[in-house]
Amino acid sequence: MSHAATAHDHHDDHDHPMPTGFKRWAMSTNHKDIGTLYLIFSLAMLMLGGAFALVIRAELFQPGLQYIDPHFFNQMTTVHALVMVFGAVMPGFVGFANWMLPLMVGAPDMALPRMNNWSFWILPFAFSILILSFFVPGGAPASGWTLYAPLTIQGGMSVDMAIVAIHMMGISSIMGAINVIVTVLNMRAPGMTLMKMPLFVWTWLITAFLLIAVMPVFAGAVTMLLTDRHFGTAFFNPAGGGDPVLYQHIFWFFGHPEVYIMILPAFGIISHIIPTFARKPLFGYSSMVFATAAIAFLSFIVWAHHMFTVGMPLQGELFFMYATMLISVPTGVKVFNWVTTMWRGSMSFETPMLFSIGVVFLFTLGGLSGLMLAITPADFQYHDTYFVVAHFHYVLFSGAVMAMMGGTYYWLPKWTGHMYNERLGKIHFWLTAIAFNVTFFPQHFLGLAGMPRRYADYNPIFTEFNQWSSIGAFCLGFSQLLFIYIIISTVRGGKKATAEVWDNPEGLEWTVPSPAPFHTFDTPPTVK
Amino acid sequence: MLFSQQGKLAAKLFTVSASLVAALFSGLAQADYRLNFQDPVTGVARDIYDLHMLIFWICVAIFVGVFSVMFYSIFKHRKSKNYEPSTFSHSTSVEIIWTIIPFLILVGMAVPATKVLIKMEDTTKSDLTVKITGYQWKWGYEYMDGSDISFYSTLSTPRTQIDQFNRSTATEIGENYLLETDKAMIVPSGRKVRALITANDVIHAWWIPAFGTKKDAIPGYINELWFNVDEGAEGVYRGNCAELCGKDHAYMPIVVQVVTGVEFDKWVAGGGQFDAQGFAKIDTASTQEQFAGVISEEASEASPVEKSETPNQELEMAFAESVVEAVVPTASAADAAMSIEDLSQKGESIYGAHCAACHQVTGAGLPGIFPAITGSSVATGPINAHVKMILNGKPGTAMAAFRNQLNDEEVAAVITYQRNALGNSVGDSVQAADIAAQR
Repeated sequence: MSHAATAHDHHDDHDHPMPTGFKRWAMSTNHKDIGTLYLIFSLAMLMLGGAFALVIRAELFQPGLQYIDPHFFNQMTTVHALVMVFGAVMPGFVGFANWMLPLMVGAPDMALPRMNNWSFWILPFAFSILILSFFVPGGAPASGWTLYAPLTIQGGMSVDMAIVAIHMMGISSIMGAINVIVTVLNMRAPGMTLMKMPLFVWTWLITAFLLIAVMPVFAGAVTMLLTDRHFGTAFFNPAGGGDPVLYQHIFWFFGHPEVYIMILPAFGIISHIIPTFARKPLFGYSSMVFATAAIAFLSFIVWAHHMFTVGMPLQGELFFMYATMLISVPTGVKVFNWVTTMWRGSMSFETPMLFSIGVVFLFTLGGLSGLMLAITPADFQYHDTYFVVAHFHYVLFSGAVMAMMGGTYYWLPKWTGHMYNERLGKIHFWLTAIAFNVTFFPQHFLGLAGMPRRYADYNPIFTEFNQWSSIGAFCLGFSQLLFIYIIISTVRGGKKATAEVWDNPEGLEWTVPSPAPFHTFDTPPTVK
Repeated sequence: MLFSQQGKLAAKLFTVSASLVAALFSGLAQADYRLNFQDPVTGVARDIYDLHMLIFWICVAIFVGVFSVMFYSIFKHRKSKNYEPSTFSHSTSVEIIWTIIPFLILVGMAVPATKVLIKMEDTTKSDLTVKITGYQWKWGYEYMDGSDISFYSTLSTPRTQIDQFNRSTATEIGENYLLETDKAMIVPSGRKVRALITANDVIHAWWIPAFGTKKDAIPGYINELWFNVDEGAEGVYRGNCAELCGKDHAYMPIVVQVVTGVEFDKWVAGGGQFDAQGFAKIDTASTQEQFAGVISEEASEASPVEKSETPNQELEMAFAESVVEAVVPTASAADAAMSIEDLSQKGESIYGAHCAACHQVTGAGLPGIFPAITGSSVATGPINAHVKMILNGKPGTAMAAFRNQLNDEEVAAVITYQRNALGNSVGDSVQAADIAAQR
């Protein structure tokens, strides 16, 4: 994005010249530029991961093997998930954090700008290693993104490459999280107490603690896997007395907080958008903060609901069932708060608002199927079927990804100084929302009727809904080209945006001009 | 605004998607489909079904409740209708109410769920125990009650149905595509069957939807599950491996044939024999008729390999009582020395069932993961090393130890086949007696 070329005009309070080209982007310590890099990277990974998904959906259009063999199919499901989780969703939110946190708390930049640069520039290398694994003998990792042992112990060299890549992504995430915590806790403008922080700042602060808590756990798990594979240990290898279930416990101790890492910042974003377009303050600010903290706490004690079928003792199954069900209480509070924020507001429905309403509606659908999955006896039937695939795409795509799209439309005028094309934005929303539902709603039926996930092939009884799903997936994928077009054309030009952009929105970011100058808040603002 | 320009747009999109829907229903619809769980045939499966529907309707009620409020608000409280926004931003009493009410709903869900779970996990007082072992990519069944019956169950869907890459060589996909095996697990109705579940290589999961059972098969662990199929629900039930276990995860189905207790006892007394379709061979005409329909349907789609094993298939179909001999060769047949040709001929079907999933039907393997048999140093080198490889496998890889899976004659046959076919022509062979000596 070249918005900063225009930003340069506003940049008059620093003596040194504006860097350009390699110096500007590769050596950047500016939170806005690094945020832009993160967002572009995230969008690129969304497209790449989406392309893998389309390969999967093409093969699943009909029973029988038409295009790819099952081994390559497994590579596709594995790398699709790794790219989407670690390449699209997590860096996407870090991009939003970089751009918006300093603007929201009235800080001149992130607290640790050089580390910020490093945490971004690790990512392209990490993903290059992951993608290069397609070209080693045996192809990319094919054991599912969960990398369950002992299947990964059997895998080829690509598993080692994935482990190295995961370590790098983990380092990047941890550094990003440290930066967020230090910035938020130390660099808030005078008068901005913790309970006056915007919700996006709150959700990211809590997310950052989750990241620091669980990324090292994941790093430990994959390192143990690596030594099992090459150095004769047997942590997870039953042939040497190891325990495959131990891997799953460690993985999901990381994996469940990970899903909240991917959704809490999304909650933050829509908690900004809904009040703006409802022209009414957010309902229940403090309960939103406490609900976020409660979700984060509970996320550490529910991990085994991902593995009810491994044969846990009855007491364990009951504990994890009750704990999991409890999560729906704070999550419900959030949904009720959003709906009540809309209640008796004066709503208008620009693209960011459409995306936010879409998120509230569809995320809640995914949350309710999550509640069904929490019920252990029923989970035995849902587990590892397409019902689960439908569930987590409702929370991850129509939760996290659509919230990021809404956030992009919401802050794009602030980033670029131009208004995006509202009509195209709305078309993009409707295409995305409809295609998404055509893709994933039928997968609930497939799962209930008994189609296991990660299957390259299936009985003809599942054909009907797989065809719906495949058609929807292609529409969903190609609709995103419109998103890219809208972003590029907004960067290039368009109606000039005012500093406030929207109708009297709340937050310090709207007090600086649009586009936000290269350096903002050199003198901290005062918050009453 | 939403319903002026935006509404028109949405209407257009709706028309497009509706026509797409119509196209799918009329043109592309091939088979009937299900929207919900398969019909339960055990008490636990019924409990799960009821629990599932209970939670489902509660979730629907919550969903409809919350979003009717939201959409009412979206229609009424909009700027385009000049609705004046309120300014309220918190209410402690409302927050408390909508924390407590969901909590009570959860308690209401947890009580029945706990009851069902306790029932599911009670594996005591079983009438029959079967050990189930997952392999890449087949299932092994071992009856633990002194009957000494054990067998492996592999996919019986012909390769020509699966490989649709080239339409000219592909055959039409059958009704039980990927849900059919060469031997079914045979269980009695009306008795509590306990399954001990484990795996030999990686994690699998044994799942029969209609029984309401799913449990991971984990190497180094023995998991338990139980089911008690209703009397009167005798028939064939099909399920899948539910935990990703490598390349052929989708190709290791589970078929369970439920017979009456009397028939089951006869089947056990008869040594646990199977007919050509992989169902129980029981010495009464009446029980066979039950499956005669299935048999004749499937016979027409049987692969050439299967036909060569059961040359008089159609004839025998007509006389249900005289079903063909079980395919498993017995060790006693290996007394006499066999020629390379005879061994290779036997070895071909064993190769197809146990080796081809990884090493491929052609012996070319998959570069980088599964080595080729054609020209391999093992299959063309010293024969003793070849025998050791088959018997002991290669630790740390997907190459399994076949010492307990194949008998001496089968090992001899498959080794001879690998050395003299698939592009190899070493010219030597090995006899069952040699294998016995090397065990």
